[in-house]
Amino acid sequence: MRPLMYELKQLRTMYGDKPVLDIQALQVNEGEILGLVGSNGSGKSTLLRHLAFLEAAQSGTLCYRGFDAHSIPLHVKREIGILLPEPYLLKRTVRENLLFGLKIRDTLEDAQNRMNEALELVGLLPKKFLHRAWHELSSGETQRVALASRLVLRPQMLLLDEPTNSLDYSGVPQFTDAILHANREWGTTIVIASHDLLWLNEIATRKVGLHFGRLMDFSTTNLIVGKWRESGDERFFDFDETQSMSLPNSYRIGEKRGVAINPHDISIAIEPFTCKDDTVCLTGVIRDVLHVIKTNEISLKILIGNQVLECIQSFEYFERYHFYPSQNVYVSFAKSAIKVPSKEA
Amino acid sequence: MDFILSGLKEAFWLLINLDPETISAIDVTLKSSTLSIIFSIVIGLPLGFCLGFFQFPGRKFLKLLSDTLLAIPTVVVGLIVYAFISNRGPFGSYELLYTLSGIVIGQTLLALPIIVSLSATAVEGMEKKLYLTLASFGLTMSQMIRSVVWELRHALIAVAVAAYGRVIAEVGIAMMIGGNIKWFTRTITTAISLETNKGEFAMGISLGLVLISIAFLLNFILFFLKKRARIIV
Repeated sequence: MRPLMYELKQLRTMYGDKPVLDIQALQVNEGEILGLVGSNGSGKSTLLRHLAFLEAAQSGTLCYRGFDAHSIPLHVKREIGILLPEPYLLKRTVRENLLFGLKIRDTLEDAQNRMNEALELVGLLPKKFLHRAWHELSSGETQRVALASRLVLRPQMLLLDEPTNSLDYSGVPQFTDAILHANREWGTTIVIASHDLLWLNEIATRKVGLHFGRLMDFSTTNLIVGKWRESGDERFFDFDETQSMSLPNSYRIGEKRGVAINPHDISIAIEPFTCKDDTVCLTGVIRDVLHVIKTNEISLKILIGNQVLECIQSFEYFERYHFYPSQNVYVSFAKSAIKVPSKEA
Repeated sequence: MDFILSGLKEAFWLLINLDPETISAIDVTLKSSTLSIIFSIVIGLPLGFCLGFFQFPGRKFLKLLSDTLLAIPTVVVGLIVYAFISNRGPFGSYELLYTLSGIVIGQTLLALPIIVSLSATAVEGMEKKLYLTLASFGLTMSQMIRSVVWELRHALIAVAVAAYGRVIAEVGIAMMIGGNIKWFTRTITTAISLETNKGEFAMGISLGLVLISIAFLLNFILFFLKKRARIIV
C-alpha cells in the first residue's frame, strides 16, 4: 500500500453560519492524481487552501505526512505547491518569479536549467519569456508562468485550482503533459480541482465529488437541483410538462442539494425501453458526443426538457448504434441509481 | 500689472545668476524636507506596515488616530514642538528653537501620520491573491514582510512622495520653529511670505517658481508610480 500524503478526518469549516466544508474522511495517496469535481461553491477551492495550510479548519484533523497545521515544520510545508485560480504573478520579471521560490528554499544550484525546463514544460520559450516583465504577459501566459514557478520547485505535492481556466485549446494538452511529467518524473502527488470533467477524466487516477462542502461517493456530473413536487406518497421532479421522475417521500431531498445520477448508470437506446415501476424512462435529444480516450468510452450529453444528462457508454455499444447529435433517443435508469448526497466517500 | 512682469523678469535673473540668498533658501528647504522625510519613513513605515498587516486589539483606533492626524494644521505641529523645545519646555536645554534641527523635528512629526496612515492603507488594501501567493511559497515571517514591502514598493514610494510634497510646501512649522532667519533657517515658503510683505516680488516669484517646479516633479513621479502600482496581472 502506498504511503499517505494527506489524511482528513471530520474536517469542518464555516463562513459565518454557512458550512462550506464538512468532510468526514478523505485520504490522498502518494503518487496519485486526485481530481476534485463539483459545481461552483461546492468547496473545492476552500479544500485546496486547507490542504496548502493557507486556511485552517474550525474543527477536525488535517495531516500532511502525519503533521497537522500546528506541528508541520517549514521544510515539510515547502514540499506543497499550490496554483490558485486566476494566478497572481509577483511584480517582477518572469525570471524573478521563477527564482523566488528557489531563493526562499535556498536551492539556487542548477537554477538556470530548472527554470528553462519549467518554462519549456508549460510551453514557453525560455529565451523569449525569461526577461519579460509581469505586465507584458497575456492571461494565458501568466497562467503558464504561474505553473512554471511551482514546477521549478519540483514539489512533492502539487495542488491545482482550476488550472486550465485561462488556457486556450492548444494550451490544455501542454498543461496535461507538464502535470503528468511532474507526476511520473518527480513522483509529485497531485490534487486538481476543475469543472472540466472531460479533462479530469483524462488525467486523474481517482476522482471525488464535492457538493455543498461534502464528499460524495458518486460523480456529480448529473446533478439535478430544483423543486420536487409532493403528490401522495411520492415526490416528483418534472423535466418538462410530460416527463418526470418520482421517488418515495422517504428520500430526504434538499432543493439545493439535489440528486445525482452516475453517467454509467444511464442506458440509452433508439427504441423505447420496457419501463418497470422501479425504473425511470424518458425521451431526449442528443446534444453532444465525445470520445473519452483514456477509458475508450463515449460520453453522450442528452437534453431532456431543460435538463442535460450525461450518459457514458462503451465504444463497442456506440459502434453498434451510431448515435449522433440531434438524434431522438430513449433514456432509462433505475430509481436506485438516483443518489441523494448524504453519504460520504 | 507692470510690477508682476518686472518681478517675473527679475526672478529669472536671480535664478540664472544663482543669487546667494535665493539659493540659501532653496538649500535650507531641501535639507530640512529631505531629512524629515527620511526620519519619518524610518519611523513611520514599520509602524504603518504593522498597522496594516497585523491584527491586534486597538488597531482600528490607531488607524483612526493616524487618519485624523493626516489633516493636522502645520501651525498646530509648530505650536506643540515650540512648547517642547522653547527655553521653558522640557527639551529647552537642547537649544533646538530657531535651528534647522528644530524644523526637521517639526516636519518629521508632520510627515509621520501621512507615512503611517497611507502605508497602512496600502498594506491593508493588498490583494488577497498576493498574500495567498506569497504565503503558498512557505515564507518565514521576515521573508513575508520583505516580500510584501517589495511587491507594494510603487505604492509605498508614492506615499513617501506625497508626504514630501506636504512637507516641502508647509510654512507654519518653518516660520514658528525656524524663525525665518536669513542664511540659516529661511526656507522657500517663509522667504516668499516675508519678501511679499516687504513688496520684493522678484525673489518671491523666483522662489515660487522653484517650489512649483519641485511640486510638478513630485506629481510627475506620483503619476508614474500610481500607474505602476495599478498594473495588476
